[in-house]
This record gives sequence, structure tokens and C-alpha cells, in this order.
Amino acid sequence: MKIDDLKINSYIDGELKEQELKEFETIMNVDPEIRKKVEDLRKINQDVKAFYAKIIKDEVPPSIKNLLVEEESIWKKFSKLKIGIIPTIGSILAASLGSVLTFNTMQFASIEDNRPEFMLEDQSKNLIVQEIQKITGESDDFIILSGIFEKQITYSIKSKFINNSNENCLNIEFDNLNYQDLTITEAVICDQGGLEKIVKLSFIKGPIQDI
Amino acid sequence: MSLVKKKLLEMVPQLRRYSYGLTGSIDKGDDLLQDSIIKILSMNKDINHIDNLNAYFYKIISNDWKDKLKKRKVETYNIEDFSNTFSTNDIDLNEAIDSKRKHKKIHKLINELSENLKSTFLLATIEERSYKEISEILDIPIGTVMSRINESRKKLKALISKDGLNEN
Repeated sequence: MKIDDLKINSYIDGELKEQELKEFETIMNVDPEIRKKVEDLRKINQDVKAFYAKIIKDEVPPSIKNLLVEEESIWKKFSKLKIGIIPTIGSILAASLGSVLTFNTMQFASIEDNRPEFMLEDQSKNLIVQEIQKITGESDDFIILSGIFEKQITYSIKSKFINNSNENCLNIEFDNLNYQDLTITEAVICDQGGLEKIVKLSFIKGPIQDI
Repeated sequence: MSLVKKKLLEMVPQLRRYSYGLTGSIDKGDDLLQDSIIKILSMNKDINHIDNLNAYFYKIISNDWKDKLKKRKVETYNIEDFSNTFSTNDIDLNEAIDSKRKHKKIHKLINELSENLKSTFLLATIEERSYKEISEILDIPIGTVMSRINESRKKLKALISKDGLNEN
């Protein structure tokens, strides 16, 4: 085995495996020059590591923590509400986005308090924004588009139910969620063990006619 | 809590350390990490399909930093920033001064490395990522990872032996 600087680094970084490692250590044990190089590099690594060790113990700043810690999951809060859960809701939920859905909310248990005091999670908002991107041709900037949620929007959870795949789903109605000429009226979002997916988004394109 | 947020929360201290290493400043590092987290969350990718989430997070931060560097000239780092936060309580004063000098010096030396060398060095030495992971994170061949690590350590060694770590 030829021991060059690259090999010494690989040894220090734990990249040598079995036979190579054995060979390296055998040579190192009889070659003081290599041993010295290894020791020198280890010393540098040790000093640099010690320098960066403190930041690990620091408290994570709130600006970062707040992005990741939610007050309480919308799903958990929702489960506290006393509502009936319908085990199966038929095949209409299997219809994919883009299809015309004949969605009949009467099939789901409705809840009495339709203005719960919680915010939509970012993940749900992002799903909605992504769908709007698809509708508008994906050309719009995600961050700008996400701005629709910064405005005062109101929404209500119309129902909670479990779909065919045994996922918890929320049917959300929006009062004033607008982007360009789109008015988003309703979304159905299901929770797949922590991962959310959107199964329905209803919108009106063009100006809303006063009746 | 979503899986991605849970994973991120576990990884925040390490990711914060990496961001600090890249930017050379606590504030800029936190800004970079914050922007990267927002990006990761807004991607809303199905992370179940990602084999190595930790490497994925490092990759987003590395790319975000590259973008930031392209967009604007990064201001000079402030070497007082982090080295000054070391507490001198309960340590022998001379030792504390030595240690502070040493830390200042290390901070300066790392920041003198080119961006390519710095990111590779930090990932290998501080974040203890394997060469294969580093190659995926930085999108470079393993051979390049090895030569960058070698070059960065050579440079650091040369600078240290020239000035010593405790010299001002």
C-alpha cells in the first residue's frame, strides 16, 4: 500500500475499511513520519472541533425554533372535538384533483363549532399554494404566492372524516382566499401519518357574480 | 408535527453549526439556516423517499449559501463574533486568554479558506459526514471531496505552523 496524504486523510476520517485499515495501521506503526502526520492532522481537527462545539450547546434562537415547533397540531386539536366519524365515505374521494368532484358534504359528520381557534399549518398552506401554482401554470413565485395567507383570511373546518385509506381528512371552507382571478373556496386535506396531501381544491375563476 | 419538522428540529444544532461555519458569523448563519428551513418546508416534498435526510438538509443549506454568494457580495465576517462569547468564568485567566486567542485564530483561518474548501472541510471534520455523503451534498465526485479535504488541511496546517495558534 502506498501511503500518501489522501490516504492519511481517509484514515483520519474513518474512510478506510477492513483490509486497507489493517495495512495502513501496520505501516503507520513502523513509520514515524506517517505517525507524526496523523498526529498533526488529528490535533488540528481536535482544535477546530473544540471551537465549533459550543454552538451545539447554545439554545436554538426563537426565530428558528418557531418555524419548527407548532403550538398544537391541527389534527390533534380537531380530534378533541366531539364529532361523529364516518368510517367510509364511498368512492368520491378517490377522484383525483382536476376531476369534477360531486362532493356532497352531507355525507360527512359536520361539527357545531365551525370557527375553531387554530391556524392552518404551514404544510397545509403549502399544499394549497402548490395546487394554485399548478392551476396558474406553475410560473408564479412560490413565496409571492404564499403571501395570500398573510392577508386576513377566514376559514372554517366544515367536517372531519376518515377516507377509504383510513386517513384523517379535513374539509376546509375559505371565505376570502384570493389569488389573481382565482377565488379558492374549499380544500380537502388528508393526513397520512404526519404527511399531508390535498385531495380536493375548489375554486372559482373569474369575477364572482353578485346574485 | 410533520415528519420533516420533527427531523429538522432534531438536526437544528448541527445545521446551525454548519451554517455558522459557512457564513463565519452567528447572525448570518442563523439567517441562512432560517431561509433554508423555510425553503425545505415550502418544498413540501414527500421526504419518505429521501434516503438520507440529514445529507438532504446539508445540501439545501449548501446550495442556499452558494445562491446567496452569487447574489451579493458577502460582507466581511466579524472575527469578534463568536470567539468572544466564550465564557471566562471558572477558568484560569491565562488559559482563558489563550483559549480565546486560539479560537479567534481558528475562526480566521477557516474563513480564509475558499468557499469550496471550507464547505468540504466543515462537512468532513466538523459534521463528520462520510465522503460519499459529502459528494452527494456538494454534488461533486468523491475524488474531488478527497482532494479538497487534503488541500484544506494542508492550508490550515501551513497557516498554523507559520503563526501558531496562540499568536495574535
